[in-house]
Amino acid sequence: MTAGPAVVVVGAGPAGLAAAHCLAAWGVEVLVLERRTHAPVHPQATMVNVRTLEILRFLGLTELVMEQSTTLESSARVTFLTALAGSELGRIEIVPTSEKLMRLAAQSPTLPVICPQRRLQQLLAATLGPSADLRTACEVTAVRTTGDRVCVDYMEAGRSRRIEPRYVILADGMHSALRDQVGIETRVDPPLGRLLDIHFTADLQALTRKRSSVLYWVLDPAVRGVLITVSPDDGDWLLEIPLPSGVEADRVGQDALALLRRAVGADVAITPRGVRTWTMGSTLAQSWSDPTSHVFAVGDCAHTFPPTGGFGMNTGIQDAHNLAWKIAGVLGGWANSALLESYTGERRPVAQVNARQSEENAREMWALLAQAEPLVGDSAAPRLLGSAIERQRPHFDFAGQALGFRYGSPSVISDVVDYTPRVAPGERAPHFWLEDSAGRRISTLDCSVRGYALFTGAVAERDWSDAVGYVHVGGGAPIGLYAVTVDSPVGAELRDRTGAMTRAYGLSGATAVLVRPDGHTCAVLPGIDPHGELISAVAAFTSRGFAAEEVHLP
Amino acid sequence: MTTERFRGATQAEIDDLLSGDRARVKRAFDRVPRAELSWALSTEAGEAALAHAFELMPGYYTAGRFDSPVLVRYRVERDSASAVERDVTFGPTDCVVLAVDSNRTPDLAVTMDALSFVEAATGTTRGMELLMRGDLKVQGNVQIAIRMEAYFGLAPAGANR
Repeated sequence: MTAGPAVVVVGAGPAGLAAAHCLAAWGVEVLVLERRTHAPVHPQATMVNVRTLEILRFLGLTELVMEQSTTLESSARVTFLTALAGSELGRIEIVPTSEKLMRLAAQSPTLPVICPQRRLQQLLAATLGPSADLRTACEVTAVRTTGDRVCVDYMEAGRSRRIEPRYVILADGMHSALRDQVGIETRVDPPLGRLLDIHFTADLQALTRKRSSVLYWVLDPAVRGVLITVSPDDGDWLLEIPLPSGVEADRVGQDALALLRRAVGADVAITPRGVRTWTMGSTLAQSWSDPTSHVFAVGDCAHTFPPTGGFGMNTGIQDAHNLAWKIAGVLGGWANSALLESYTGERRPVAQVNARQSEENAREMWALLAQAEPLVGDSAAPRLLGSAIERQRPHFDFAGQALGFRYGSPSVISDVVDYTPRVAPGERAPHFWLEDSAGRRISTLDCSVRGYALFTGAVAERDWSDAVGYVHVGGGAPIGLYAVTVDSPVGAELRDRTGAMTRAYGLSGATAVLVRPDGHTCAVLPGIDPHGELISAVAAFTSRGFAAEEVHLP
Repeated sequence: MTTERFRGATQAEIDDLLSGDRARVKRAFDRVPRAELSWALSTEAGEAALAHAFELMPGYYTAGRFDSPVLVRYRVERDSASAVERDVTFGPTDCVVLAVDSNRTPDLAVTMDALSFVEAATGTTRGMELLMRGDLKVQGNVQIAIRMEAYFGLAPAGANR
């Protein structure tokens, strides 16, 4: 057997680095090979959504990420105006009521933030643990499977090298050439259009203080686009302009400063930092692994979609999170290799839904821009555009899409805007705060970070404890029992102070709820035969996922 | 007041807790066990400390955020003791703390326990964190609610980039 890391990740973008982090958290030795020597200067993605923050929280990176981020609570608004210094045409309050504020705050132990992709990449690269090694200036030239290993050829410092890990994760972007080498085919949808991105710095605080928005859509016929808050305190901004067909992007980009001045609409110092043009559309790998399930695609290598909604980077990081525990389980001997086949079946439908929603968001925005064009300057414009602006809500207000996706269901999400916490197979187990006997707060999501979590009420604790012990004795999967009580906790019990978690999880009787290491609910076990039910469930969920159809257990 | 009344704290820590000075209150908060803090805040001296914290609000207020006055009604709940309630008006130039006038409808009602109030008032814990923990409840104008810390120089830590 060849010595070396068990997993090689190709590409050190957010998805690749997240894969390395998640694997390293399970103690898996990982080598990340990146052909570049540093992260791109262009900010690229900026929005880190709530589910991604939960993953970064599992990795212990919340505080570091927050230091690099701008919180959204003081700018939870999207404003539509004639120019940044111009008149307002309308707005979308992402948190329109105090009821919604409290609902959003209760849905997760984290909140979304604005963190430019380059900063997140740098942070992820700098915080890799000892079992993850990142090597830059390494270009992978070939990947092929050889029995139960993968042969990876790469160039480092002008020398050809070879390594043979058990698994390879391709995170080398949408133009990956390695994908084809291992038989992963990609479908490319017709492009929706082209975008011009201008990265610039300017102190715009005087213009934004009263409006405090995460995005400023400029509906000026001369500059129709969006000013994106990258890091407002540092004066770091993006102007993103959809280019009409027939317009040459290069020519438009040459006059970046004039475009920026028009969009800002005030005499402030503006420094363009970079311009890029790109084609906006969706791509989707048909299968996200090679036929032997030893090479996997994550992030942009598996899917791309329009930026309208900000789901690209987030979906990639969440792909990595879904895949990592499965690989760790197989390498650790407690999961069947068939579990790896569920990766495509679980994540591809989520990416498809995110792609379709992003495309829909883009089309709705195009329609608004077209409708607004003849109205700019008309005092009735705010009234006439009101309903068209409100139709953009799913573009910016998407807790249901970010948290409510369900594996193994033909209906991946039930509502883009509103998230309804449910204890249902395939869905993310709802977050509730619990307290241990020392009064420390623990999220239900924290319980499944290092293995399966079995939640039950205090009444049935003993029966389920025996069953969990039986799984442990059998050398099975890592599984922790969490007995929850509404009273003062005894021993290792956790207190559900309000009883809300106990009600939502249905833990008043003999029932138990089994949750996977990625925080998704496996099954609700009735507790008629705890040993039999738990053994069946663990056997099922260490060998398959929710890919083909919803899994029903006794 | 004596040290004996605050079983887990020293006289110096109690003095800090009741001082009304953010740094000193925070220091006491960091050192004294939560159960003792909660107990202390439910006493008469604790009530006085909470009342004092309200009285100090105008001194920390950052004017200029409102074009017209808004009324925020605070209800600070205490273990085994009556709640401390105040009406606070945030205006264009100043902030005024008054007794609750039940004839007036507040723009925003804020309810929290005494410990959470002290955490928020000293900047120890962000308001959003209290909301996420379920320790803070708000009803009314959400725009006032999500920006409240900014009015008192307690901007969210994550916004400090």
